[in-house]
Amino acid sequence: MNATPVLRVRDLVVEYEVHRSTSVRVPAVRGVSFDVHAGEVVALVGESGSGKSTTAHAVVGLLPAGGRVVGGSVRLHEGELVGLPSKAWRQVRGARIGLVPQDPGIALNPVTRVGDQVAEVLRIHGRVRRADAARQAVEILRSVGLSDPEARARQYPHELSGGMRQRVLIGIALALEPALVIADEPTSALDVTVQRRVLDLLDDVTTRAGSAVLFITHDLAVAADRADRVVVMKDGEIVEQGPTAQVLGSPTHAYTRSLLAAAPQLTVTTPRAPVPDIGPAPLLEVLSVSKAFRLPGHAGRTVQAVDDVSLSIPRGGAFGLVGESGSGKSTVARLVLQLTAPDSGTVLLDGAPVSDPAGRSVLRRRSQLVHQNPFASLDPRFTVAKIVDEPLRSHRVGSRAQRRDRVVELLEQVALGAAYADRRPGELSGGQRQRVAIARALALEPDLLVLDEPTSALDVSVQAQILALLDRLRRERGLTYLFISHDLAVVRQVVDRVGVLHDGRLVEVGPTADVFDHPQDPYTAELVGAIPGGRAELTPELLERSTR
Amino acid sequence: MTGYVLRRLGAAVLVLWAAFTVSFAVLYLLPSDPVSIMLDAANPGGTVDPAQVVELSARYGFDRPPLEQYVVLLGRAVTGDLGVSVTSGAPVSQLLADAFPQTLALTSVALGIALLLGGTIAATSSWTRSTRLRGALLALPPLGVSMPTFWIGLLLLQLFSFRLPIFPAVGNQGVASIVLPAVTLAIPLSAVVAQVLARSMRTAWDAPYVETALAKGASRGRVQWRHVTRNAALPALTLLGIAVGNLLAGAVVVETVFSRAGFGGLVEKAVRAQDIPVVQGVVVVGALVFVVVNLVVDLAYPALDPRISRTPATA
Repeated sequence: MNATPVLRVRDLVVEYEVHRSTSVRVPAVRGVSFDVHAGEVVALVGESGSGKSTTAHAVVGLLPAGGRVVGGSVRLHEGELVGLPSKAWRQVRGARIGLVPQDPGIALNPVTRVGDQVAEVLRIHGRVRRADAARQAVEILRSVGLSDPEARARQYPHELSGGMRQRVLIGIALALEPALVIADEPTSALDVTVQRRVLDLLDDVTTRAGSAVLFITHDLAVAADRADRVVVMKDGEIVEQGPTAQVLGSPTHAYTRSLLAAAPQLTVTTPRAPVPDIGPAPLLEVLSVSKAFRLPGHAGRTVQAVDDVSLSIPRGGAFGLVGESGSGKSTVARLVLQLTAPDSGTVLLDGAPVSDPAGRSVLRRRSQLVHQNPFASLDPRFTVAKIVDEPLRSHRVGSRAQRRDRVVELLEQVALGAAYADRRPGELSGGQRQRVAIARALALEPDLLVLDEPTSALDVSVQAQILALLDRLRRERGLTYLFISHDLAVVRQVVDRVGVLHDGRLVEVGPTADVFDHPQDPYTAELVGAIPGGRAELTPELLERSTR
Repeated sequence: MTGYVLRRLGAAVLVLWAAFTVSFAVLYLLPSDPVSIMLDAANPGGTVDPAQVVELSARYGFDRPPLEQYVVLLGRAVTGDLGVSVTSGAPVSQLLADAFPQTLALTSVALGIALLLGGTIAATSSWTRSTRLRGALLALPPLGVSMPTFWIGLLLLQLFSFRLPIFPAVGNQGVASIVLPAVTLAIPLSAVVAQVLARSMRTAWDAPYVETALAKGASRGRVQWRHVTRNAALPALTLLGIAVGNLLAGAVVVETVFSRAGFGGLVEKAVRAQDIPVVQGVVVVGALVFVVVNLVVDLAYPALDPRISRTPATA
């Protein structure tokens, strides 16, 4: 590692203008220094707001409006990039630095054919004729593992799956074999099995091209699997950096340790104290429900979203429903809550069918839903108190004063306290919002909580807090959970039993530990195998510390 | 796709029928006597012969119940026969056919100017990195929207016809005569086009696919032209259908200001003389133009946006 690094960042400072009218500037990155050598993968790790993404964008010269590099140096091989005129920048981008963007769903132009978008990078940088560029684009699509690349080149982005689109974007980034590839959370929007295949591909093509990789991620487990070195950022500064095994194996900084402790994939599950059995009778029973949806634009054609699914959750139990996007897990939640009616089968709550009018009114009161996205599920104009009070008001529970006391009590249960009652969602962080959503769900003292990916929009450390809160509430109040998630590692921490959904069918059900340690179904085995973090070599000492 | 086209065509026919029916109801059921207007036009100030009134009423069908009149007129209209002008006795379809090309030329040229002007303002303001230039350009549309058409017309006449005799002030002679009226008509529309396009272009510049394009090494100009304009034009396309309706309405005023022959003049005369068949003919043709333009816009959408026509077979 004595050779000149491919990328050398020294004392980089990036500021954002808060508002154009005022000249107030906030630093987003304050004095960051690190190197990336040829053939090396360096992971830049941190939570939202840590400055990791800003650092990456400063390196490729694509800071969002208002962002500016105000100090330090970024060198690519020997050339300084800070202050480069825009014409010179254009020769760097795409040719010497490739960018793999975050969300493949929206990172391709929706109205241009895939092949043309790959060919564009060739046309910009080389004097290739249109026909040659198109031919080369097909070869690039083939090299990133797309089957039938000639046909793919003629398709539009929305006709490809998320994983295929990310392959296209990797193809674009590596088309000209750049010295440096910046991958900005390249797989956080993808399902776990797709994520693994895409990351394998990225490993593959960057090795083939001999590129250095700067890998931005919030996911320590992914960093542990893929990076040679790890750089941990917090509040715009680097708190720790070094070889992966060293940083993750014996972290010296408290923040790194707390991140590690919060990362569910790297945590070995502690044998949890069994939840006391409140009653042997199941609270929720789903008896072979099926639901098909009509395909829009295809008269008469349907897709079987849920196919003969049966499950049962005892009172006080927690059942995890796991599957990738399109597996039908959200439809099961909607069927349980009677937000949609099943084509066949029944749902029983405490022995009574919820499809009956009587059963439905019991259901509305005794079961509640916590949504995936706390940024969308709270009315921004309501105060926290009004949000939590809403179910009480609509079910006419108690007097105004009683309700006020109840709201404060609920806020205390989710560890927010009365001080938050008069705030509005806009003033709260994601984790605080999700706590408000949980308090609202608890207002009517339900028996059953349906949790639809309750932590997928949150940072890892916040996610760990919310999971701990959910676990505590269940023990204290004897709640029953139907926990829906695509993230097996998260599910593992909360539930007693788990069911794996694949194409609308429940392929495996069993106690959590059995399903994870001895998966019977090949699909479950693939899912478990794809959980990132499996390749990390963690010392027993760390494992012990991180579970504490 | 066939179902989509058929549904659109059905809706278009429905709109035409509604325009005919509403204009019939409003015009024929108004307390007005077309026969005495006709007689008055033929012999101003003369005495009215009751026999002649009866004879004329029978000839035009005014003595029939309104529903019967409606059915007969609708049947004729379907075959393209819109009746005869009460004042001049000429077939309405002939009058419309004479006036239509003038108005069509005026509105098409105005539409072209509006798109070019509005598009240029929007594209330049979203492409430039100079906040000063952007601010100046974006101040133009509110100005354009707030000026009344007739006032712009008078201003342009004053400047380019009387002070600087470049363009003729009135009439329909030659290409030069269309410039001032078309510009007058185009300015308010171009302001709306600029506002809508500038906004959707700003949104498009913030889209992640723009970052992808910039990361390929594309220049801002290339991004503006290849990625932003194409995506931003889609929401603005819907505006076009509505704009054409406004253009036709505006044309009536502008043709009056510039004394141009066309729909404007025809409408003005017909309304003043209560020439019901002509007014109704103008309404129906206006609705026809509106319907055709919106049909074209609807059918162009799938061609321009692959996401509409080629929905993948997944839910």
